Amino acid sequence: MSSHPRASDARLARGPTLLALTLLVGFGLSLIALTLHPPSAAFVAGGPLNATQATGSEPSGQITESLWANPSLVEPPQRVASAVLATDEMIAGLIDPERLVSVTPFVDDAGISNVAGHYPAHIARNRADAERLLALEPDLVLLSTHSNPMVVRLLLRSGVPVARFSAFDSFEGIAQNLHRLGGLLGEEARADQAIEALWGKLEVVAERIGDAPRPRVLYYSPSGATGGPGSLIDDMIARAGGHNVVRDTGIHGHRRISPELAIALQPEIILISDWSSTERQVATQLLEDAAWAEVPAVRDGRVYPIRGAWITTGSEFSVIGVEAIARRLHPQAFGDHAPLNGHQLEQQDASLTSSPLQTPASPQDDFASNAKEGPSA
Amino acid sequence: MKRNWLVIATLMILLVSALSANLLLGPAQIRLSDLGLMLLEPLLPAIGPALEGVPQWQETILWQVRLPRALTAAMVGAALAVSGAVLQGLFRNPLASPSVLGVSSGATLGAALALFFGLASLYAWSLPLFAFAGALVTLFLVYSIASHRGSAPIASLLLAGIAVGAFNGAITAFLIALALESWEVGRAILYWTMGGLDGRTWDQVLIIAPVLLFAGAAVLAFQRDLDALLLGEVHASAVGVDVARTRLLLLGLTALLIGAAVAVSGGIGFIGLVVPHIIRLLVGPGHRLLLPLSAIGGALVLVSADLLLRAGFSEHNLPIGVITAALGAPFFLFLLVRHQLRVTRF
Repeated sequence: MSSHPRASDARLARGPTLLALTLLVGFGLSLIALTLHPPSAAFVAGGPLNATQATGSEPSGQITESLWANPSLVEPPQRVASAVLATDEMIAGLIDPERLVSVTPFVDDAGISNVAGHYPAHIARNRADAERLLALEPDLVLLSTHSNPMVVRLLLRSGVPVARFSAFDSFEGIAQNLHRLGGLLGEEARADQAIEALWGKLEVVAERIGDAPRPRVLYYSPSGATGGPGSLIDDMIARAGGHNVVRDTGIHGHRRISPELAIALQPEIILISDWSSTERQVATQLLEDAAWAEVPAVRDGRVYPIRGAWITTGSEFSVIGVEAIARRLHPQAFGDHAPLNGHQLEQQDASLTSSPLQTPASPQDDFASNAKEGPSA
Repeated sequence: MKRNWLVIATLMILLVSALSANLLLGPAQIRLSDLGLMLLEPLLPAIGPALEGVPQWQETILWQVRLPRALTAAMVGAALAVSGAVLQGLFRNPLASPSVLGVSSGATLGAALALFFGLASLYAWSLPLFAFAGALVTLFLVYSIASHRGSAPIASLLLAGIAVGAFNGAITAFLIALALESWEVGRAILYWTMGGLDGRTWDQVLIIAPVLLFAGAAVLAFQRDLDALLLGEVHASAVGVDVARTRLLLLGLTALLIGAAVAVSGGIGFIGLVVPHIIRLLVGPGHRLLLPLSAIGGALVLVSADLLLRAGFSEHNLPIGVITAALGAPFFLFLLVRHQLRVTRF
């Protein structure tokens, strides 16, 4: 039976008193532990979340991490773990798979990955969780500033060098990341080659387009997300010879916009990231929705799905996306592709996917084929 | 009495086994015998040589990843369940809990402010302090809005709690929206408000441990007053309880517990509401047993939830609150139905 709440038996009172005393002793002990090991601000929750700074002489200089003292890289790492899809894609062209211990499971998803099929199955897949990463004994973990800071700190505290990448929001940023990654991995030559190829391809696209008038372009995802200045998609549209209509609104970076605003911006071309069948449906729905009927892009049937992996990536593969967009924006400059109406979306997309960028002046092989065959240069 | 000892012993055994399971299981494959040896090594230095073949990373995972995480889970669960038990006794209302009274959201708002203004990155204690302040301000605001001449009618108390909680939530969402303009700060707040136990370290253990131990001891000192309050404020005053003072102190202690729990793991719902009820159904309403057993029960629920999360769902990014609710709700309903059947039968 339960004890009566107001039992005045002295024996009954002893239990809680003893317990309270034990708790107070524990309190005293924990205070002593606290003075011996004061908690670090970086570990509690805050801590500046800037990207890793690479200082000193590359290839194997000191990498400093604002969150916690970063163990320095003594020599080019041989057990690299990548926990971000963008770095999975970037290292595909920089180091041989033998130097990798882990990549993210997203690399296998052809819908969002540009390196599907490149990494053999024996390389472990990780979801950026601390325990699995530690168990692989990596000598460098590649993360981004979007990664969970708690995991980053735990890795650093356990003595694992961590390099976090940011600035996936412009081609300058991508080139910078490639350069830094090449330095950290001791593969500057390959990184420089990749950067050169990147600028080379962008230049080819720019030459093809020439002074053609810039159509008004809206990038619109099914959830209503779009990108203004400070987002990679804005840079991609600009380099593909378009005017990103979001620039007329003062929106900076990635943001969700209402359909009303999207319609009011009166885009002449709408780009939709295509990585699942639902997104394809959205494209069809837009074309049939009465509210969108008078939007120039819908009226003229210029709503284009672009392969998601080319648009959403933060690696150099987005240059393929630029070419794909440019072909939609300036079909005359690229010759063989005439604009198709929305009902032929599937066919149009298929033809695009099967014809990767083939630029005669390109200094390097196409990235897609590079990834498929593995870095052999 | 015999049955109470059985409940205490069962809960203790379950908690200890859940804690050990948390140390033994995880995504990384480590031999159980090695883990056992590693755990015993600090106590018996003689077995050190047996550990020679064990790679360093396994020790790191045990001592730096799994142990602090399990301890944090246990202490957060205990703090939330004890504060729920105190609030339910204090307000004589089965619905009173940190989340319903808006205290958790107040703590979240306080912590979000500390992150937003960058204080959290300068001083380790600013986050728990702000969380505590947020919880305290909310608790007293709700109480003073709802109380009238020293007594707080339950309906207005709960309504005030829900309204203030909604306001706190709105301001937090506003802060996040503002902070997302500079992505890094926004991410920090967002990650943190999502809660959870990923990557918790000894720093978190050291922040919540003294608060839990101190507030736990202090709350225990009020167990008789809480029992008296169960019968009503008039009755409590009649037996010599200084109702106003007791209330103030207990509200402060509750805010301390919730502030520490939220600062360490973000808002985790459900435990503060349901665990005290489960314990009450098991051992009755007396706070002498209810308070310590709620602590053990809360710890057990959160540690088991984390175990399930790590062992069963590590591939999916499930928030821990989903597991606590999924585990606790059916059990709570089972006890409730059984209790009702018993009441109607007699």
